[in-house]
Amino acid sequence: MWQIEGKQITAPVKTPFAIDKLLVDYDGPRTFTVRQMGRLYLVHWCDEDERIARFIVAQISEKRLAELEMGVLPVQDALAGKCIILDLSADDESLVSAVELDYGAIPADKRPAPTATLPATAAVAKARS
Amino acid sequence: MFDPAIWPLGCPPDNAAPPSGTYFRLATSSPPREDDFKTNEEEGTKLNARPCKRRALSLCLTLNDARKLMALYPPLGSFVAEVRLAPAHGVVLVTGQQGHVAYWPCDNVAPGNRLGLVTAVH
Repeated sequence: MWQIEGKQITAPVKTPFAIDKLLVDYDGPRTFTVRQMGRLYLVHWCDEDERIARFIVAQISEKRLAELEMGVLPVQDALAGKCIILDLSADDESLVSAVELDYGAIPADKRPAPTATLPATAAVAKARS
Repeated sequence: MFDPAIWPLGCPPDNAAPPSGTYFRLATSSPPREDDFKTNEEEGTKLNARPCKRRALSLCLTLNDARKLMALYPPLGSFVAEVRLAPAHGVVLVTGQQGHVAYWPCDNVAPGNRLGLVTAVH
């Protein structure tokens, strides 16, 4: 797993994750939101190996979340700036580490493509048609 | 097809239907590896997830849907395997996410056998 350079912090969200809204599922939750202490967080899977599942976590507003869901906001734009890398145990999702860093410090081949947006839910796709 | 002695009660769900046609799955290599076609249950991961969900594989309905996911999650793979499924291979359920289905392989379609379902790699 790639090295993280940042500041160890207390994780802002509880783990295992209590998913508020599932945005993308592919063999399990990949992008979703979590609410903690009145704050909304976007959580985005970015890598895993046999031991660790790694997620990018960034606080997000309701407005930005709506833009994400409508497919008008790239995921990268929602995560950009200060974010947190959470490493969880791949089997039981217990917390291994929480590191704060700048989004740009994440290797490019682990980040979503700059213009990548979320796939629409069936409801959003229907509203567009 | 699904031995009740092995599968959780109510799994696969009753509203899952036999597949017929072409689906797409992200792969880490060309040709794909057996690990590209393992469920969470077979890998021993995501122990907190619902047992039935852990036994499903995610598939995409179109190549474009798969490429969108590849752009979002580069470590999931740089290739897309085209898979041809028939009713004898299990059941699928279209989810609420655009272009995404959950596929439950039946008992005689073990991970190694799933590679034989691949008809092309993009």
